[in-house]
Amino acid sequence: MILVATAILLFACAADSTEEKLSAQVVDGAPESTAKEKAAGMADAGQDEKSTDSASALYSVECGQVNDAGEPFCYLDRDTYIGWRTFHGFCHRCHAQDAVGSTFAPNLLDRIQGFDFDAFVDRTANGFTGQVGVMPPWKDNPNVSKRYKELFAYLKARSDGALPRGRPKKKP
Amino acid sequence: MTKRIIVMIGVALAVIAPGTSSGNTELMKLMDNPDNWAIWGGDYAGTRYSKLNEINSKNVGDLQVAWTFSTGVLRGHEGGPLVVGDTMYIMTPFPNKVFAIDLNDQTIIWRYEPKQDPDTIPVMCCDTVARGLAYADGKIFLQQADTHLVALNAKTGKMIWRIKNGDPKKGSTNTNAPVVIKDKVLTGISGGEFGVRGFLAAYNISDGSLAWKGFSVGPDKDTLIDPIKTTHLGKPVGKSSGTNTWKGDQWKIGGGTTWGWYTYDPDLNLVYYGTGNPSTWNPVVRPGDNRWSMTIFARDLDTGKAKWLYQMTPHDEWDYDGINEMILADIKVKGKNRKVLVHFDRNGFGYTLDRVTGELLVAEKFDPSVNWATHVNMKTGRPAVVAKYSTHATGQDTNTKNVCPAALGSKDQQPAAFSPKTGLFYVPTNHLCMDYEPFEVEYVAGQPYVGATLSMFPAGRVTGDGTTNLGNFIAWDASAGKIVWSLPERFSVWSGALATAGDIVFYGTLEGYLKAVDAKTGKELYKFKTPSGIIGNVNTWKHDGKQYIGVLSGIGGWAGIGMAAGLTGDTDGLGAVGAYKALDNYTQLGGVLTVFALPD
Ligand code: HEC
Repeated sequence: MILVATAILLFACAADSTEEKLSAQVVDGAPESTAKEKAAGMADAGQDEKSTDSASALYSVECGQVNDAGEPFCYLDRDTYIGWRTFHGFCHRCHAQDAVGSTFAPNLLDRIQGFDFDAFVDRTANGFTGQVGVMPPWKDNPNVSKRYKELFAYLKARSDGALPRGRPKKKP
Repeated sequence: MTKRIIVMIGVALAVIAPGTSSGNTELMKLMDNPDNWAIWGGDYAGTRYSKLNEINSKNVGDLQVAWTFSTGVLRGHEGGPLVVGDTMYIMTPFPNKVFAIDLNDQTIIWRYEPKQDPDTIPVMCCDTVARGLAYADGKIFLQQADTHLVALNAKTGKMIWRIKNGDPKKGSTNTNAPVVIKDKVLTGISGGEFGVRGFLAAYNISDGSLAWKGFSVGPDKDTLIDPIKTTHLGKPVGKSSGTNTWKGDQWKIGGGTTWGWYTYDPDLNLVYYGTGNPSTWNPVVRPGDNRWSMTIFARDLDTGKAKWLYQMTPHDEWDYDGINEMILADIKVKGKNRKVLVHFDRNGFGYTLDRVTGELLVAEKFDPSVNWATHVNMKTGRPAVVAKYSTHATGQDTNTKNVCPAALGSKDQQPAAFSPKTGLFYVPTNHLCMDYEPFEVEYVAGQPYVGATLSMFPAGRVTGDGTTNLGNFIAWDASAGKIVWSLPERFSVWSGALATAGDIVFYGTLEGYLKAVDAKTGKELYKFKTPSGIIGNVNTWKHDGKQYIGVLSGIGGWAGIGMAAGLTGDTDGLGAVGAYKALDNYTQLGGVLTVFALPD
C-alpha cells in the first residue's frame, strides 16, 4: 500500500512577517555585516518561496515502499528530502537521528507542532538559551540559512506523523 | 598521614630540579604509589592498571557503596577524578566546576567555577563533556571548554595563571584532560567539525608560557616534522608531508584535532597521541591522503619534534578519528620482547606498534563486524578499502549503505585498560554500523563543516546474526591480534575500564551499571546500578588503608546520540523491538560520583 501525505502552507504571508521580524532585530543592534548577510539570506528565501507560488504542498511523503533488501522506506519530494539531508548534516548531532532528541537537545517532533514557519525561522536563525541548553544560531551558516523552508517541511512531515523514522529517498 | 609526607617531599624535589629528570619527579612518585590515582590513566603509559588487590576476584561480590557525591551538573560526565594523598579532585562538564574533596570526611575543601562564554556550548560537537584534570607541582591544571588552560593552587583553589589555547568563535574548544610531563603541561584542541587545524601544545607549568606547538597538518615548520629524521613506517617522510597530500591550501582548515589522551615513555622521552578526522566529512572535495590527519604521533617531549608517524586511515571517508588512547606496554610479540604501543582505533582495527621505531607489528579487527576494509597491508600500512563501502567511490549525494563501524567507531574515546598480570587489554567497544552520504558544504569560520548525513543502527542488521547489542566489552591479545572473550552489552560501552592486581576488571554501562568481571574469563562478579548512565572512567585508590573504587555516572556525550541510533523502532526490521526501549527507560541525566568499598 502506498500512503501519500501532503500539507498546505501559505508561504507568501510567512515571508512577509519573517522580513519584519528580521529587520526588527537589526534595529536591536546587530552588527552591520550580519544585517547584510541577513538581507542576502532573506532575498534567497524570498526567491524560493516565489517559485512555490502563494500556496503549495509543504511536503509530500509516499511510504510503504520496499527496497531490494526488503526494507521499507518512504519517498520524499525534493525539498523535503533536502530538509532531511540538511537536518542529518547539521542538526542531528544534537537533536539525534530522525529528530527524536538526545540527552542534550530536545525531541523536535512535539515541539514543532506549536510552530509556524516564522517562529521556526526565528528559533533556528537566531538560536536561544532555554531550560534544556543552548540552541546555536544558524543565520551565518549558508548551508542551513538557505534551507529553512526545506528543514521546516521535513520536521513537519515527521511531527505530523506522515514520515516514520529511518532514511527516506528522493522521489525520482 | 604518611601520604601527606610523600606529597610534601615530592613538591620539594620538583622545586629543586624542575624538568631535569624524566617525567615529572613529584608526579612520578605519586603515580608509583597505587594509593593515589594521580593521572587520568593511572600512569604515564595509560594502562589504567592498579596494583591494589584488597578488592579481588574472591570478595568483589561483597562490594558496597561507601559514599556518593553529586556534582550538580546535568551534562555528560566523561573522565574521572584524581586522588592525590588525602584529596580528591573532581571536574564537571561545562561550566567545568572543580571540587577538591577531603577524603577524611568528604567535605569540600575548595571549589572553583570558571566564568565561561556560553557561546562555547553550541560549538562543542557532542555535548559539553570534559575528561578531567592534571596534577603536578602543587597545582591542578584545568582545561576549560572555552580553551582557557588554568593552573590552580591545589591547596586553595586560587588561580595561579591562565592562558588561552584557541578561539571558540572559530569553533575551537577543549574537552581533553591535560597531562603534565617534566616542566610542561600538554594539551590539544577540539573542533574538527568546524575546520579547526589540530595541534599538540606544551606550556611551561611555572607561568603558562608556550614551550612548543606542533600542528597535525601544514608546513614542516608548523608540524615540527623533519623531512629526513621523522619517519613513517621506517622511511623518512620527505619535504612538506603535511601539505602535499592536500588539494591547494585545504590543509589550512584541515582538521586533525587532538582531543584524545596523551601518554608518555620516560625512557624514550616520547609523547604519544592520535589526530582526528580531516575537516569536512565529504571526502570527494578533499582528494589525497590528507596527512597527518588520522595519525599516531610520537613527539620528543623537550622539542615537540616528531620522531615517527603512522597514518591509520589515509583520506578518511567515514569520520574514523584516530584520537583514542595509545597504551604503552612491554609484551612479547611473535616470541620477541617488545616495547609496544597498543591502540584501538575508531576504524575498528587494533594496532600494535613498536613504540621506539614506529614499526607496525599487528593490525587486526577488534570487532568482527568491521567491513570497510578487509585488512591492513603490513608493508605499506594502508587499509585495503572495500569499494562498496568507500563513500568517496560511491560519491556525493549517494548513500553508501551498511558501513561498519559507524562514525562513532568500534571504540570512541573511552579508554581501555592493560593488565600486566594477564597480559590482556580490556576494551569497551561500540557495535554499530551506518549509512553515509557525503554532500557539498560551504566553509564559514566558526560554523560546523560536516558535509555528510549519516544514520546509525545495530551491527546485527548488517551481519545478519540476529544480535541486537550495540556494544561489547572485550579482552584482547595485542600480540596475536585476537579477541580472547567478549561480553555483549545492550548499549555501547562508553566507560573507561580499570584492571587491578585483584584479577578483576571494572567498567560502566550506559544503563548505569558498574560491573566487575573476572580478568581471565570475563565472568561477571558484581554489578550495581548507579544514579545515571556511565560514560566516565572507573578508577581506584587507597585511603586510611582501605581500597576504594570510584566512577562518575551522568549520561550524555555522543553516547546519548549513539543510543538513539539503536532505537529505530518500527523501521528497523529486526523484530526485537523489546530490546530497543529508549534510553529514557533506563536512566536520566545527572552527575554523581559513586564510591565503593568492601564492608568493614
Ligand atoms: C549544539 C546542539 C544543537 C544543534 C547542532 C542544533 N540544535 Fe536545535 N536546539 C538545541 C537545544 C539544546 C535546544 C533546546 C533549547 C532549550 O529549550 O533549552 C534546541 C531547540 C531547537 C528548537 C526549538 C524548539 C522549541 O521548542 O523552542 C528548534 C526549532 C531547533 N532546535 C531546530 C534546530 C535545527 C533546525 C537545527 C539544525 C539546523 C538545530 N536545531 C541544531 C541544540 C542544538
